[in-house]
Amino acid sequence: MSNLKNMLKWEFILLSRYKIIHISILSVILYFLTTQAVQSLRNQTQVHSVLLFFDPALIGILFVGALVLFEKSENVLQALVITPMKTDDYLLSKIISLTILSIISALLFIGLMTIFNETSFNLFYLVIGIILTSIMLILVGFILVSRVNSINGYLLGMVIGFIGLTFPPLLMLFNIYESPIFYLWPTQASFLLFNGVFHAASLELWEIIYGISYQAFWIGLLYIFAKKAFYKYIVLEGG
Amino acid sequence: MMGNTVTITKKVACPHCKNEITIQGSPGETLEIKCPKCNTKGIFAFPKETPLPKSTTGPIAIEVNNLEFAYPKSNKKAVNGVSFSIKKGEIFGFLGPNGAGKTTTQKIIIGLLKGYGGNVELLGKNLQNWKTDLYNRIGVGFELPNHYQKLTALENLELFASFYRQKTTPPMDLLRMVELEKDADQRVGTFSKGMKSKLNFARSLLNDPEILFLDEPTTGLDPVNSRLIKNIIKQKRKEGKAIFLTTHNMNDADELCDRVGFIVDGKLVLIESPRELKIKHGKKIVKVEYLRGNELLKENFDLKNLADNKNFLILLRTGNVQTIHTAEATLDDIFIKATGRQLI
Repeated sequence: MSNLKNMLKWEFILLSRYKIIHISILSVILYFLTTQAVQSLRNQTQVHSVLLFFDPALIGILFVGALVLFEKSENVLQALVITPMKTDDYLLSKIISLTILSIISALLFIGLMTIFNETSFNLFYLVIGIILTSIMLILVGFILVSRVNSINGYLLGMVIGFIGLTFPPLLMLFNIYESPIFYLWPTQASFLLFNGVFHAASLELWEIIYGISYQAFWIGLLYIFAKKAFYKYIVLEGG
Repeated sequence: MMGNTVTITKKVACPHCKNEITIQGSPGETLEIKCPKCNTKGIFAFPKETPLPKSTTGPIAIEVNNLEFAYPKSNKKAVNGVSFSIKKGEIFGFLGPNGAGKTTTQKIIIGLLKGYGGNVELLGKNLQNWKTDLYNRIGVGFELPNHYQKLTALENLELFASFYRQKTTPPMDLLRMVELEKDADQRVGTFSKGMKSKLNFARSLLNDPEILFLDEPTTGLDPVNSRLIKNIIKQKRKEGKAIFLTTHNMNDADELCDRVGFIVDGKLVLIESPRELKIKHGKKIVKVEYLRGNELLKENFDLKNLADNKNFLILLRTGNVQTIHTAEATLDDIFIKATGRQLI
């Protein structure tokens, strides 16, 4: 546990040195300004739900990729794998630090929306939605980035993965096309909870259970894959 | 230390009357001898204490038996029947061309590659029974720099120190040891290659490891810094550390290693002390370069009975000798001879 605590401390120092904290705060302000600049977006809660999703998505999938690529390009992973550091601690420190960053960003976004637009929201769905989505996408990002060594390779994988993950639930969110099959998408569970942030009363019990447990299931599965990817692509390839 | 002086008794034959004379002295001592029978005078030098070809004192730190490994999707064995052992207080040089199996062997020993054949024991315990706690007791210094560029030298060491369960060497002490204390608060991204290399080396000593794996520890270093690192390595041997040194630098191997092993195509073809190898594979001659007028001439003399070689003695007395060298083989020569390949 002390190892994890230490790693978390260093992870935040690195997030700050690589300016990732700065970028994520800036991106929130940009989201907010976009909603303010475009009149029609101010009260469009579906759009707010999408922005709420994009924030942990960006922080998770993009920034975990950036962090690991920095570590790869600096050969640091080669040195990390021959210390008593546990893979769990390594993954958890990335997951926890980036998730905390996601929560802070989301609270900032919602805070600004509340102050300037008097938007009402449900804190429980916000926090649980951010935590689960963030962890899920950090793991997706880690699995993707462990296989590649260049930013180009990562961006390609990320774009394909991102479209594949989000396209069907987005169709459903904007009432363009509906299908029960879309409930198989883990991001469908994310959007459902983010929708509940602004329409808490409309969420049914099964949707809450589905939204939380289905993401938790995927997190468990992805964590196993992430650990395997760490061993296969990072330890065996010498970092 | 005086009390530890070893006295050697030796019998020598008088070169004139062949009378057997018994003499006593200590390693490195030169004695004037007078034959009691024919009064012929001569000089005898006791050989200096030779470094042990292998450590016979310390317990075994690394024991590798019949190690085999093939990468997935490869028909060829990257490591093929490699066996050796390294004792505490010994520096073992692992020499070979690129792609010979050095890195693979090291990766297996430090627990990064699974699915190998044969047996590896580290510090008396089978490698398969070690978990990440092994890394509390070994240190690895890589050839290529691997630090967080955005962190300072001190922060890099502090970050890595935080992984160890036992007390670690204070990072500032390590930076002082490799003469980087003035740069402790500089970000590593601004460091030169040599400074990064020294930081690599310093980090490998963080946990005061019992076994030290060093890959080209003097790469990118000027002669002064190279000397600094080599002296620390020798100090670590004195402290009883087992050191596994991978290098292409034959001078480093010659100076530092108690024994060297040559690996080619995954096979360890030769293990011996550098001194023994050089003598065994060298010619027992002395090469003399001398000036006659303005002309530089060379002549070889048989090492055997050199003291009685009239031509050699005359050459010495003429005073025009420029250089005198014995013709022991170099480690480069031995490598090429043993493997039929050049070191790359």
